[in-house]
Amino acid sequence: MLKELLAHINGDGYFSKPLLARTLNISEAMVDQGLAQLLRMGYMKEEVSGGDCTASCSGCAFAAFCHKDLVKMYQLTDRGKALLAS
Amino acid sequence: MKTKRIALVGNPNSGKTTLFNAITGANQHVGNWPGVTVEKKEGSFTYRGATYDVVDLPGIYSLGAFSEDEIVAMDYILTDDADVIIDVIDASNIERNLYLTTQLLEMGKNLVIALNMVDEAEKREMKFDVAAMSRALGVPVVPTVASRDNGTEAVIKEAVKAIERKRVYQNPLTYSDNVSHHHEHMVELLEGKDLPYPPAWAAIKVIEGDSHVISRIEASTDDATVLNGITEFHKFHSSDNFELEIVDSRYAFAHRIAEQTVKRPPVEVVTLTDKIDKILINKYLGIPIFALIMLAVFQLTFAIGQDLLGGYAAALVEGLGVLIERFLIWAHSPEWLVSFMIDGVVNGVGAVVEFVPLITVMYLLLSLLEDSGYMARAAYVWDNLMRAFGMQGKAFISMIIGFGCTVPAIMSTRTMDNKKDRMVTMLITPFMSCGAKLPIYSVFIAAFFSDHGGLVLFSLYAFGIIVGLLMAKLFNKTIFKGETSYFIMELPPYRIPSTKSVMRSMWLNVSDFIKRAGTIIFMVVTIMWLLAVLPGSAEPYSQSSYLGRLGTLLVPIFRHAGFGTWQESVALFAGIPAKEAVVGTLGMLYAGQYMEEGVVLVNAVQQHFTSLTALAYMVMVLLYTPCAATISAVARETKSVRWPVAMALYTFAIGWFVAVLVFQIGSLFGFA
Repeated sequence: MLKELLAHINGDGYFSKPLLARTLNISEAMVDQGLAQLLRMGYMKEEVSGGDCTASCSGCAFAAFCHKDLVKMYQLTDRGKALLAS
Repeated sequence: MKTKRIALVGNPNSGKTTLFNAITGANQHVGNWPGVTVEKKEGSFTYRGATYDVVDLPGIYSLGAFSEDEIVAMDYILTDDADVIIDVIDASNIERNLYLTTQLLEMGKNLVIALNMVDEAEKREMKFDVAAMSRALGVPVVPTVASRDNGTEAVIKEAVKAIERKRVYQNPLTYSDNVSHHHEHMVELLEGKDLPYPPAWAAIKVIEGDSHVISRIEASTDDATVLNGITEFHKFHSSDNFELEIVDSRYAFAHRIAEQTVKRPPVEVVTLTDKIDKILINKYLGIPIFALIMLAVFQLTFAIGQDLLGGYAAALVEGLGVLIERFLIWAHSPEWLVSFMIDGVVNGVGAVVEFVPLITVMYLLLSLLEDSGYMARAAYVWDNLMRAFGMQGKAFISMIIGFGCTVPAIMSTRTMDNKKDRMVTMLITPFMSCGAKLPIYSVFIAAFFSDHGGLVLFSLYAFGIIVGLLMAKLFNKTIFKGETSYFIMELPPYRIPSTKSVMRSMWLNVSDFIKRAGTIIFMVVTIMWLLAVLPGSAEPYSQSSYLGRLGTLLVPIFRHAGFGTWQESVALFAGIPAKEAVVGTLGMLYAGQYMEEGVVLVNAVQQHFTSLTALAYMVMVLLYTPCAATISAVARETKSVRWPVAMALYTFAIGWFVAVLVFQIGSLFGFA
């Protein structure tokens, strides 16, 4: 299931959890868990909107936008690419 | 005789603690697991004359070394302290919950399943074949509704029965051939070595690479064959995907059990979200639809923010000005103070404040789009286009933030790992029209293009994006060569925007605009006013004032772009500390010049500009050097002086060049 999930996530450059759930005939909660497993095992990485920041939020012009999820983005790692290529 | 012990395990929100409360009643106490901050709940109950201890383990999704909760639960279960484990499953989410059950079965534990919240599941039209589930899993399954104390007695009964019989270890999972092959060898290596875990289970965890289990094995033995065997295995198989294969086997098992024993209502094959997405993120329609939506946003911004509400803000500023002037004259204030308050503050800062309704409406509409889930689609649609220009989709987020303020947009690039992508995004973000430029466009649009306000505003924003993309392509072809990062976007479902979230987002931008008007704009206008009335020997607001002299020096630079007066030149100069100061300075200078005639800014602009020079001026404002705060943000983010200076110069050159081009071409066609 996980390799198939990764392949579908990578397929079109975008994915939606309900669509994946229907495509793979699993629940959305399973898609969630599968995604979490792929992230944990290092096949994908999530891009966080806050970034690597050591500055304090007070007085930071970006504070209001930091960690604001306009859209969640992911990237396939080399491990993920190798898995799909295998 | 030792009191028998029951452990409760389950996913978070599976109703595990509710069942624990139902079983133990008031006989419970709370403490902490030794050495960690994880809460430990214990209790007891009496059944048919015997007392049983119950421990409520932390809510977990799986048994691994991925969180303190999981380690606590795994260690407790593996110590064999519990005589039976009650696995509480959320029936409405059965597939996900069965993953943990699968791991417990792998451990060969004495298990009873409480299929909890069946009422919730039945509301969702789910039907369970409990007997078949029990047969498939090889353990008793009891449907419960712990919140109503339904099935509690039956769970206790099954748990007590399970304690009395001895479960034989039988792993129901089938692993891939590859994993099975290595499992056989690993079991041979670990068997008879006096390890803290059953060899068959430990072998799987070693192959899976569970760091916690491996370190426990390593700590419990000094047998060199075991230690070397484990090290060699991971060294040799570092690029294999054993963990994924094992996890996949568990999912396959959980999925199979759910498929065989649960009936669900048929799911809608194509949802409304899918239907909408088919159009909105269509390869060919996506960008034109985005353009149409943004055009509608700008049309509405003008219709509501300017035409409907703008007059009230202007009347308020004007009324306030009259009041202040009357008060100052009544208080016999010196002439310079009256001039400063009226020409500087009211006509300068007031000219900016008048645009609060316009700004409010625009950010309200953008926040609505953002909260509805559309902006995520827009980011995806743009990702395809931006990749053609050598940029990544993440840059679109910076561009969207840049429509509010360029400073946070510059800072948002720090989330980009790829330095090349980050530099290119930083260098093109100033071309996105920020909120501070909106009052400038509004004055010129009101003076010359009032019939097509939305369209002109939309064209300016679109032109900024086009110039940004072209510059990105140029940078990618020249100084920032290399591969662009590729991202996968998660599209959230569409939703009705929440009032709280929309208002909050809108207020963040509007309050920033108001704050700037009261601080930096006030400061810039004050300095400009001083320069406009000094030296004392010069006529205030005239060419012989310091400001007039500075403006005269700048005139030759801008003459080819059609705005050849010192006031227009010096206003652009004032825009470098803060863009709103362009309007503030023009407001102050024209008010000072035409004070006796009572000419408002829009009328003054009509006297000094033509529609062609107004267009060239707006293009210049759109593209030229960003404000000081942006330049300083670039200096901070790049930790260099070179890049902010380069950005200030190249954007000025682009702005000047395009403004000249607009004016010269327009003149050729007779629009001058």
